[in-house]
Amino acid sequence: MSHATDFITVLIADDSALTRQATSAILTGLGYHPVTASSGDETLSLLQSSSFDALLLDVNMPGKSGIDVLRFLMEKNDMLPVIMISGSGEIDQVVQCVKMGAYDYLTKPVDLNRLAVVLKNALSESALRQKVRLLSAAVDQSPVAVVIADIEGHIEYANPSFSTVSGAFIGGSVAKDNIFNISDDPAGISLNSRKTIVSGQVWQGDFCNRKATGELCWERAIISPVSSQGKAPSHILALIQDITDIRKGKEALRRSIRRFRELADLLPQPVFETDRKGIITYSNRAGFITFGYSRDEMKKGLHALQFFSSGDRSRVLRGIQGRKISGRFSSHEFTILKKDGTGFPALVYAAPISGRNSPSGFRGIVVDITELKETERKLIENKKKYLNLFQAIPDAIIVADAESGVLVKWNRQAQLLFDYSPEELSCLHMGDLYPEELRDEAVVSFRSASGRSPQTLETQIVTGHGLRINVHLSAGMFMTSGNKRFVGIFRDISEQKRSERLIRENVRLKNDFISTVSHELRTPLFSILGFTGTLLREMDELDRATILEFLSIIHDESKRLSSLIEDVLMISRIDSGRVSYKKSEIDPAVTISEVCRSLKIRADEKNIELHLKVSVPAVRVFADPDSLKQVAINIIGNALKFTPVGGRVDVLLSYDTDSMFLSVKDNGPGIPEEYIEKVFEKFYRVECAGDAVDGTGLGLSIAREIVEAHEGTITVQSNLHEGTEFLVRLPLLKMNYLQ
Amino acid sequence: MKQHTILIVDDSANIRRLLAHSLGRKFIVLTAEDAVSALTLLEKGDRPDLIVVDIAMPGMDGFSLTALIKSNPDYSRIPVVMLTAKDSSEDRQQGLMLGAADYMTKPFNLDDLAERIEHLLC
Repeated sequence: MSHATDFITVLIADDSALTRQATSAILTGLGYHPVTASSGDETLSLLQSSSFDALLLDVNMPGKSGIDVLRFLMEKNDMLPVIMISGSGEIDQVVQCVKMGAYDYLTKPVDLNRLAVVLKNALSESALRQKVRLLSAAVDQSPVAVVIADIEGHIEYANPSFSTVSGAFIGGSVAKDNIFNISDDPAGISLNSRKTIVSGQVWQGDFCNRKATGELCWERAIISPVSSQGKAPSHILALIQDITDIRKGKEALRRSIRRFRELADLLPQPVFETDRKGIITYSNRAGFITFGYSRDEMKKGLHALQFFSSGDRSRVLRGIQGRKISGRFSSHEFTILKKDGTGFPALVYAAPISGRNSPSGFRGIVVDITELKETERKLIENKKKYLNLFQAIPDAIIVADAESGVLVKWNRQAQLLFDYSPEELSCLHMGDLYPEELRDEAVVSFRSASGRSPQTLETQIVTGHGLRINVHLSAGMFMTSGNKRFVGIFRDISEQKRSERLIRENVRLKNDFISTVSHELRTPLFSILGFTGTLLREMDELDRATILEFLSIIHDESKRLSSLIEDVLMISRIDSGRVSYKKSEIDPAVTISEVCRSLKIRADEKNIELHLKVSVPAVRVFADPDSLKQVAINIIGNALKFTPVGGRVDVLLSYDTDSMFLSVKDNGPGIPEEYIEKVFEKFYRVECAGDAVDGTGLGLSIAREIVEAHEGTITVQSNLHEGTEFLVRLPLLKMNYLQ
Repeated sequence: MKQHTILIVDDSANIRRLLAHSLGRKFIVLTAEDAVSALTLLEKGDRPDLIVVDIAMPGMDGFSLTALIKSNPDYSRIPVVMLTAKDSSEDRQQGLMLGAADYMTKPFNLDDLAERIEHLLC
């Protein structure tokens, strides 16, 4: 007995107990496992509760007959193989049973051998039918369109998916459709595939087809010939898959790549990609333009490192290592080299290209920062220029923080003016720069200043050494990075103040001079007018002696007026710088001797001993001879004037290595100490001299002006009741002395 | 008619001579070359009817002399005429405030001076 029958269960339905027993015995003998049912109803209930491989069914049973059971199975579409057993063998009954799906019909008494054969056949046919059903279900449920056509391509079978894939069956009939009938076939796919199939080979390919709905689609087909038992192929099998979505995905991918490339080409900066080894695999248009390489050169192989200057390469490698590990985006500044060897500063932003496990390369962008660098350089240069300017400004500039008042910046001139070291200045408060009583005023001027309207005032500052200096202060305010700052510009005006004072003093002196001159002119003029008037009126009444006296007074006063006018003109010329000295090399001894000779008469008149002493050797001075003569006349004349009758005047001319000295010494009354400084002032006459001494009061002034114009000095020393000494020093002509 | 006595105080000898001659025709004229001499004269007992004082003089000037005269009850009633070579309204003001009766700026007409003196004396 074969193993196959081991678990085969056969239901025996028969109302005859004897038949059930006999049949069970036979089947058991054949290796089957028999189960028995004694009626139609019992059979139906067993069929519903259990599963059987075959049924031996008696046609004639009381109650439900074998025909009823068979009908039940037929209605249930049960594939259980049923072998009818009947005692009658009527042909109608046999036909009816077979029509209702019975496998065979045996008549009693059942032949043992025949039962064994029939049962065996029934079971194997049932197994085969089940296999076909599975295959058919698989084909029916496959998402791939399965088509079987005859060798001409006429479709004989197509599974449901075919209509989904091609839409071809909707409303059409199978026979009219041909597998090689491709709606849109410019490439001749149908001809090509047909040839392949006919020659017994498999054809595989993609093609574009139009569905019955009119929609275009992409299909992938594997078409193979089908032959049975070594004969020539009689049919073809086509497996067709709709790959429209896959095609669309690929198309979208291609478009996105194109978009990336076009976008990259629009960028003005070079964009690149490298493989894992660093070989450039892609560059955008800007890359080729910037670096000067051609596409062919890139294809031959360019390594990313060769774009970096040799000094930068180790840094690049380190960066790559680092990024390989971290996988993070980063940028660095490098010197980037072009094909021609020139370099430019650039920021390189690079990041790994993500691969499945490790980066498949690098992708980056090169940003040329030449202009940025240039701007930066200019900025630094400008800042330097501004700082130089700030330092070079001749006014002192101080910047203080408005909140705290602490000094934050100052220029060199400020350091000089305020006389502090930078360390000291940085510790100072703006108020510390002013004397205490002026501090508030200065600080207020800063507080009331604004960016647009600076405050100006004249004030005083106090230096690090406590010195007070008059300044003109411009106080301003400005904002820098959100901080309010005070800026003070200080101009030292002490010199200006001094010269203002000097001008005022000069104006006062001038006014005094004019007033004095007018006074001095009026007095002799009044005399002259008065006496001439008297003479005119009283000529007849006056005696000759009085007339002579009056005329002589008129003469004297006219002379005095004349010399006064001369002196005033001289002073005026000197003051306005209009005196031109005709300087030449002269021997002062000659000039002084001449003057003394000419004054001898005046000395004799007052019985004054005028004594001249000249110490040898003879020297030369560079002077205007007339002016030197006038100096001598004025000084010696002055001495004679103030020396009382019978006195003595000593004139001494001496030298040292640099200078000539003219000393004029008298033994007159001397000048009181309080007046000694005033003797050189214009119109000043020592009061006690009174009217007894005539003269203009300008002689010594003129003498001093002349001496100073010759780079000399004139000084006076006097002791009351003992006498006065005037000393004139004039520089010697060096050259002559050396000779 | 009684002849009046005039004291002239001026540091310039020529001016003293001129005024003495000019005023001498109508008055008795005394002269002093400075303030000190003038005061000495007054202290000696001379009582001039009018004093002519030059302002610009060495030593004590005319203003001081006038002030002294006006502050001394013995002489304060004597009219003082001031002479000056300075044409300054301040000087004139100062002179009149000190009690000077008149003020004349050089050069002036000698007849004018005599007329003013006569006017002051009557």
